[in-house]
Amino acid sequence: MDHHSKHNRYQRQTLLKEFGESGQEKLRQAKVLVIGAGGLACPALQYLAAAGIGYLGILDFDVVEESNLHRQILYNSDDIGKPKAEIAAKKIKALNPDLQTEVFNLKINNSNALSIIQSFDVIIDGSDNFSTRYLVNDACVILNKPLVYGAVLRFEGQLAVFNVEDQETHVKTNYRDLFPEINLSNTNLSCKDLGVLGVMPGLIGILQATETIKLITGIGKPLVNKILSYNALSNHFYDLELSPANNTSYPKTKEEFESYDYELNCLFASSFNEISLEEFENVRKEHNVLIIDVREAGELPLVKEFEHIRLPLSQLQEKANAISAKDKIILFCNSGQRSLKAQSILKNVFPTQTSFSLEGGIIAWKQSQKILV
Amino acid sequence: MTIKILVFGQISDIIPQKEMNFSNIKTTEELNKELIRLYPELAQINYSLALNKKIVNQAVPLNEHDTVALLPAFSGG
Repeated sequence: MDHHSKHNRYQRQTLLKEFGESGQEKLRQAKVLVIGAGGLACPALQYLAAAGIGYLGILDFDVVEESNLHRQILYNSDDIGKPKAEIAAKKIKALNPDLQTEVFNLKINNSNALSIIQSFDVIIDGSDNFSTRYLVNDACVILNKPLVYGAVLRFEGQLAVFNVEDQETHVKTNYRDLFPEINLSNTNLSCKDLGVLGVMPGLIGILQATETIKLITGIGKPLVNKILSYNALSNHFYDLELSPANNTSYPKTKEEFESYDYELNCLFASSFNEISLEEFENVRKEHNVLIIDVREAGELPLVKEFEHIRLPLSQLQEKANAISAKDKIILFCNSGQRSLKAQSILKNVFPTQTSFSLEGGIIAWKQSQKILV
Repeated sequence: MTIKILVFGQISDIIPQKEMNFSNIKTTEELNKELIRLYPELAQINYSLALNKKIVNQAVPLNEHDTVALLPAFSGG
């Protein structure tokens, strides 16, 4: 693009005296990584591409689904089934040909996060689950990267700028100072379970893009050491001050980070206390896990592939007290229905005990292991 | 002691947003325990407690007419 065209494209914002040509040049040199290419990311990516950010990383392992389209406005009906990160990159490049994009069509985890995040200046959290949120937060703390956080549910949204020092007090805070950790036995449900109004991630995603532009150009006051809560129904903005919680229980070094199990520590908090067949394979081999068969005596198929105890659902209420505490209890039946009921009984008897019901039951597990039933 | 309780997200399904009177409550920690006793479902949610617009990480003394906000963690994006 020639100089005249560039001047034209950004003329309305370089006209701003706080912004000017120097602000535009800072955006051009900036590298921003957007984690997730969903509802928050779509408008954030569009506005950042339009504003003239030089380099945008887009990370998402998922494909476009029909139920995404009411809020993930970069995608068309024709894009269903296609990888989000690739489609998003294509569309924002069409919007601004000067833009360089880097597509990460993968799931971020504790072995790839540090090397991916390392080369970016600002990270935007547009993910949709707690394990990714904690993982990205901890990685940004270790690498000392600004993290622009956003989350939505129903008619509400949250926004914050983590890991950026207040210029006067030199204090900085992060997600762990707001929510130190997710308690496994709790059920903070997701949009999938509780719903979200389509415009909510749009509003919060645009605010994330705004904070990102402020951070890069140095104009205004970014939302440092604060969390902003917005309620669309009441039109209330409410901000809360954050201070360091001096939480010591999370990874602080590269080595600790790479050996911390984010899936296990956060994953179940957003589901209905079910464990998938795949997760079960990872968890069942741990030493402090108790597996309980809640089927009645004599039910088939027999289970000889792993250690477990038998405690039929009909006797669970009266005999639950005999169960000794473990880190996790996993209950199974044939289809996953009775074990879900057993899980709720167990939760009433031991509110603090973490327990899961095997999704699909032992028959689905055996099929997944190619064991003849 | 009269405390104004502000609730956010899914906590608004559990606790009404209003001024509430408490006796024998001196700190944010005691208030939190009392709220869980009154509304046991609250124990099933991960949330932060803020006193007069500041997130608190430890027990802080409460005063008449303080405002306490309960902000849940949510992960939607």
